[in-house]
Amino acid sequence: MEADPTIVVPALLAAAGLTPRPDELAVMIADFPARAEEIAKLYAVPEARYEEPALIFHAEL
Amino acid sequence: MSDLADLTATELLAAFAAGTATPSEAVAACLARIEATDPGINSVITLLADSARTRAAESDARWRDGTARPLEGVPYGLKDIVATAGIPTTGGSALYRDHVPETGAVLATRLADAGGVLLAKLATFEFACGGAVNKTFGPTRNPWDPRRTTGGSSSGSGAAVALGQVPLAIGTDTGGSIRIPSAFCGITGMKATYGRVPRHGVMGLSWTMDHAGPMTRSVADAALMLDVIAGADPLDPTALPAEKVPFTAAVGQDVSGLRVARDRAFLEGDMHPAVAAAHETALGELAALGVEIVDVELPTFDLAAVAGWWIIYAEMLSLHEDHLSTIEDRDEMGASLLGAAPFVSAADYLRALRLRPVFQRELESAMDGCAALVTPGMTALPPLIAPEMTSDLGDREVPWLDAACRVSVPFNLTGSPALVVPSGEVDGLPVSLQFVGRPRDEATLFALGSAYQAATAHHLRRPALPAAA
Repeated sequence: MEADPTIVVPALLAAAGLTPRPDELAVMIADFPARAEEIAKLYAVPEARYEEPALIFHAEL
Repeated sequence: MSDLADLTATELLAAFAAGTATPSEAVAACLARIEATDPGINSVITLLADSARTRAAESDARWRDGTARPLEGVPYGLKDIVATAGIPTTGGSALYRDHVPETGAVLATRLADAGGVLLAKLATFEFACGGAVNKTFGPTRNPWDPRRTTGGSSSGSGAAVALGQVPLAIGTDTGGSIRIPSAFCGITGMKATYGRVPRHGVMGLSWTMDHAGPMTRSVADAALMLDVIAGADPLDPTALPAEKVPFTAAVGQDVSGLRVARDRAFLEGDMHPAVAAAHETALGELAALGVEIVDVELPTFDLAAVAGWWIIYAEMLSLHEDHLSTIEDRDEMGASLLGAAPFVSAADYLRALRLRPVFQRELESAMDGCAALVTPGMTALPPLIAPEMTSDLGDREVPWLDAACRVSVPFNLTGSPALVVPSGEVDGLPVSLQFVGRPRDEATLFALGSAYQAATAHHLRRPALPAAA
């Protein structure tokens, strides 16, 4: 079941202590499905499954 | 004699050595250029005329005494997120308008210790992530068309170098902020390998994506400046050790026979038609140097920008956690980026980090047998300044960051060195090439860029100056 942006977005903002104006909130709610779709694509790359996340980055492999 | 403000750092050093000019004269020329041009452009946040004159007089004496250092007497500017001891460092933000650091950034100290003369702290998008309309200090206008943006976030550095206000400036680059204004302003910009330039004392935006580096009017100057600011730093655990051979040694090396890769699918896949045509012409000029250009594929690079932005969102939220309560004081774009950050979960951030080596390996594989990758420096012309800017791709307008970061942010993600050089003009506005190298192989990029500049005159084209200048 997909999350309802009108519920998820205000909840996430409230948890972060952010109180955008109503017009800004409306844009964020409208943009949320596209953002979720982009994130879903990141999970569709199987090669990443066993990689280590590097919190300190090095450009050389 | 030419106006000293129009000389590169390399040319100035030669003139100082020959005794045909002095650092004091060069500083005076740059100050005159700032006075003539800055009212219409707004590159400068803090002008340091008095201290620069004092430092220049000291440099005059060093040239007379034979104790000149590598940048002795050369004027330069710093993006105003680089800390300078005893000098305001605003971050381009109302929140730091009166902030005066007690210690300077490592790279600022290295430039000063090399004899450079700090002339000005330069405009920036707020905290290197706000929009083109800085509500505290005003927008910086593009010297080629003041209705248009310089791009950013190193907006003042791009305009100041293009106008001859300074021959050298420092920019920073988290998603393209050295390369975008370099391309839009028609100058040379180098985002070196991640860690090449210590970041201690530079306001952070995203600690695994942030880079600092030179913005200049020639490849030779970018190599000269990078030699001074690069090298290990105990205060920055990600800083790389200095190379044994200076980067300036790569300038002028023969590049004939080198093979260079291009990716038509993603990196050239969504360009303004006139910019695309100019890019083909530039590739023809590159091939005329004896460089073989071959097609490669980067099949998942369309996700690199997504992963890159997700890392930036998460790390920005962490670094700016103290500013959340003052978000209403922020510039609109910075606030909107920060406002988007809560939508990135910890799992999403870690997923993006885990994808990073996949992209690194993909790029390494694509470049197998090639010395470098070449891309357009930008996919569109500089947008008109507006609170919510868009880029013209010919058949449609897109959010300007989507167009601008398409060819830049993937290489923040991979940490690859990337050099932008002017490569022509479209409708009087500059367009550029970007050379991307293997980690720690800036030398090949300097060789390619300097060979291209030796064979073409695109980097010599300058914006028109006001009559008074």
